[in-house]
Amino acid sequence: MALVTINGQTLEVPDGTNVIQAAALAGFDIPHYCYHPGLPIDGNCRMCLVEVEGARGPQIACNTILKATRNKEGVEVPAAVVHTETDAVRQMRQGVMEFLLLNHPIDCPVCDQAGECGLQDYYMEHGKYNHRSVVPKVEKLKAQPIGPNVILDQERCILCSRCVRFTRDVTKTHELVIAGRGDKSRIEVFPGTQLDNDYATNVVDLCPVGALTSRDFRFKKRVWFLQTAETICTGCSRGCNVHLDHEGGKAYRYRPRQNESVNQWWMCDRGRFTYKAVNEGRQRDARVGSETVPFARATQELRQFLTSGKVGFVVGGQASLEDIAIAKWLAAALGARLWGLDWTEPGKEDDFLMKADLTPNRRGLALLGLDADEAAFRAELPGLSALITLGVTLPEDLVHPRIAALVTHAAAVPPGAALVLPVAVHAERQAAYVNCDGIIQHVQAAFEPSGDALPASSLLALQAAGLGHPLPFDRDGVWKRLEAELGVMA
Amino acid sequence: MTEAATTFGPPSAPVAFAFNEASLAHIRRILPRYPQQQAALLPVLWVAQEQVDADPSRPRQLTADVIKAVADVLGLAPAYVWGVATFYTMYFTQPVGKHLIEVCTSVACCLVGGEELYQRLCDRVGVDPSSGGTSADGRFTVRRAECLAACGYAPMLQLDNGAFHEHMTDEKLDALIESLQEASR
Amino acid sequence: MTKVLTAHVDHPDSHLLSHYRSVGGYEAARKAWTTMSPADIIAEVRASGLRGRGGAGFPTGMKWGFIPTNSPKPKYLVINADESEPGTFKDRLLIERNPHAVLEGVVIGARAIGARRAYIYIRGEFATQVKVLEQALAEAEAAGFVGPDLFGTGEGVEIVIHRGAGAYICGEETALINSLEGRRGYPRLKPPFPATHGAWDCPTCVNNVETIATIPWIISHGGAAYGRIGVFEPGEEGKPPKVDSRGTRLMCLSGHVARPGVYEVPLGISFRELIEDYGGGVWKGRKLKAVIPGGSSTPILTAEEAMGAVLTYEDCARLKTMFGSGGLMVIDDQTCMVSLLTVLLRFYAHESCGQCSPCREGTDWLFQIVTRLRDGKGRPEDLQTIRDLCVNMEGRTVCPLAAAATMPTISYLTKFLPEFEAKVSSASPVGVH
Repeated sequence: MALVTINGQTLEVPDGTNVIQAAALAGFDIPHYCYHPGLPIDGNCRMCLVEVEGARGPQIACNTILKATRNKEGVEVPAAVVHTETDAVRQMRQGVMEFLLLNHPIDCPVCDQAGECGLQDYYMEHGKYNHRSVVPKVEKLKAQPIGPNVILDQERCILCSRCVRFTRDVTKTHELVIAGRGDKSRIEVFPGTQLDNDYATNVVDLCPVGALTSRDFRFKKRVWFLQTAETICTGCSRGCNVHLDHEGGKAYRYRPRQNESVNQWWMCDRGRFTYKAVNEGRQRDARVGSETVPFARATQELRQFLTSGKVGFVVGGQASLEDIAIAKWLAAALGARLWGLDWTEPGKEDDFLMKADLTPNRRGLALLGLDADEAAFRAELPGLSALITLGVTLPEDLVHPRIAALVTHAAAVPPGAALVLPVAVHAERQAAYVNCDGIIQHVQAAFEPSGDALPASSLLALQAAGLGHPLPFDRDGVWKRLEAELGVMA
Repeated sequence: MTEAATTFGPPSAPVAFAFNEASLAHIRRILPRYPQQQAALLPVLWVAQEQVDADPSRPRQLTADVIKAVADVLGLAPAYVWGVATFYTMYFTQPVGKHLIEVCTSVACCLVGGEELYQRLCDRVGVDPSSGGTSADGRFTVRRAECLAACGYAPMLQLDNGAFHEHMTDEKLDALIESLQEASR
Repeated sequence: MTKVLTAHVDHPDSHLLSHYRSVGGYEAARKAWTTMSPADIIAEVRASGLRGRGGAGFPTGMKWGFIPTNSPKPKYLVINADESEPGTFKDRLLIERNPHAVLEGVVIGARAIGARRAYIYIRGEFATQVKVLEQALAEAEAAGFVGPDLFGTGEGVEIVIHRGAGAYICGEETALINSLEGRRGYPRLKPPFPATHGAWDCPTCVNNVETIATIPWIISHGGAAYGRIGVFEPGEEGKPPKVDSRGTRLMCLSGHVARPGVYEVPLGISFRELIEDYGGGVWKGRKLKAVIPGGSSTPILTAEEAMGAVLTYEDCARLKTMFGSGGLMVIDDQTCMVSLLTVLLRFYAHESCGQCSPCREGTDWLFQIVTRLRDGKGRPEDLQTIRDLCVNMEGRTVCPLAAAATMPTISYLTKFLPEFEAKVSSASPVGVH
């Protein structure tokens, strides 16, 4: 551990902490562009200049690395005595901002980054508010697609090199490069190549300005109209932590959310665009056979199914831990059979984040001890009076005349399903999922489910209550019982 | 959404570049001089440029195919090679005319007529002095150069990344241009 | 007068091994490799008082001493032959006319720091000089003065000539190392320093051509003999010396001087002597207006300041300028300082690597403002803007290139202010007259 004094406040930080991180712990924000905790330090933007006592001139906080320091008497002393809020430091930040904006087009009204732009944000606090440049700006390329998912505007770029370092040091795919020199420097891709790797769109999140924007998201919505929920990507079993940005019951994008033990700062593009499934292909109406029915009628039907005698449940990897728990308790109360099975085709896997298992909660099935014996399921299926499916897409060869399917998406409706009930997706509810490494991750609801849809766990809990088997209806109740019965801790 | 990605950087030449045997032998001599292959990048770019320069059928430029060949021989990404090449002024990352004439217009040369030499040369071959560039007939590319360490022998120019022509005068400039025009006729 | 570096450069064969051998060449290397330990060599160089001739003037013996002796990694000696500082053309002379002194210095320096391979990073524009150096290296290798087994010791040094490709910034030692590694020539963040984490993350010492070429003479004649040249005044007990400007320096005279060229002079002579006696005075019988003492990056001196100064690190410091790389430019009384500053700033704008925002943007902004002044399109606030930008650039970047642009700018503005004030509303010619 090292001692550091920030603006008169002395604190202890782990060896190797830099002054930006240490200042944050002390409650001081040191503005920065090029520094990113997930990338090697580059020190080019000069925005994080601070005063360090005893140093020759101002120092960049990002490269001022703290380590345990002792004086001649062997007494531990601060590794650095830092001032981040002096007039001198403020003046330096103003100076750097002025340089960064010198050749910036200031095209904020037509820039998709507006509202979440590092230049705008820091200018509020550190700007000169005294525009004095009358020199012509260096002209570069604007709005150039550089790959399937990313648009580059060279003029807005402040050459912080985060994107270059990402493709060099994280993906090691080397598509992006700084070409040229001096104020003619610009980001380029090489002729005949594109920024087209599995993690390409992370450069959009990394870009602190409007130089790299998402082809999918740009101009869909001004960001200040968006609200944000903390959830996870359900595109595979990694469960990358994300912000889901939404408005009016519609999801607009995922942005990765830092979680050191799951996805660090990143997510793959395959998962990133699964936010679309929140909006698209959803099962909106309840059906009996092929007929759309009022939701209340469908729940009455479901009750018939549940009381039909020899009932079976099959729960898949899309179901949340709460769904699985309620299904398990209800099945037990009804004396029904219960399997945890999933037939989702595996996808691409790599040695970084992408997992072949494209379900978010297959580990949850095992955690709650569901029977994964497919052969037994196949053998018993014909003898069941009714099959309730939840969070699973049945293979086409598995048919039964009385299937009640609780589905989020139309594509999951089994052919010939006797009863279909729409349920909420992860974005519409509180839920928990167990990722590929066994980490239980809780998600926030972004918005209410549309129409009459409910979280599957709530739907089944209501049914249970109607059948005289009260089960917890909300998340807290589910978890209280989970903790008590199974020792599964949130 | 499916709009094609923009093409940056240099075009490809009609005939893709490949290192010839002499160049490959040269590269084999270069590689052991460094503990890491990437360090050979500047020397190998020189080898490539010299081969390009010696082949009148090729455009006088490090076209995309040349950059790719350099990247392949060193196991580097082409974009990386392009980024490095464009940092340095002597690699032909832009097309260059039959003769590249760079006039030093740094401090010491300017004190004794470097700017006037540059302006005169631009006038003679028909290049806009504000930007430099290549004459309409493609014969001359004229650029300002920054200090070439010939301050005591100023004003001066460098011809084709090679010989220094020092103590330049109007007469010597005229004679040089004429000889170059003669030679390329 | 003792000539350490240029005693024989006027001989037509001075670049050939045969001539170099005839004047005792490579005997210092033999002495260093067969009779001296690395510590002995470093001690001798420390005793000489030799300071780096590339610009910073850091004591060479001390720099060598920073290379860790206990590191298991290979060590590298790298010679900075990227001579690009405007006004400087001395290393070129050494490479052309005394290349074996450079090579012999490398052979000795490599032993001193334990390097088994040395790189000579030579600027790309030196196409002709590369050939001279390559020829000299081939000769020295053939004669056994450079190679794996020197003087029967079973150890030796390999020398690699590495040609740059046009970038002033590669004269900065960490940019040079990046360039040597096949990267863009961006200066590196420090710490870590090259002495421990240089080329390929190994201990690396970067020395200037003139510095290294001085080493054979010091080894042959002894550090004390070298230290007797120039000026040395010890400090009080336990204090650093008052004046520590020992040895000779190659001074490059250019600009408005009657006899431009490279002159080897003992440190401590006056500027007047150098300009008038060596250089023949201001050309065309004109009056002296100003002197750029050590390359374009050093603050300018007025005629009066220069004529009262002597060639020592200390006197340059007294005048708030620097000895730099020895590129002294003489400026006559018909020169427009605004136009001259435009030329100077174009250089830094062109050569900024573009890594740090203050330098990338600031150098070109300064150039544009001063160009505007030159063209008579200045604005009243321009002079203050120039001063502000200099404050915002200097000391706020990875390397000193920004300061190399701002220090002279401020000196021009301060010392020739009326000329700049006059330009707020009237044009100057595009040249410098």
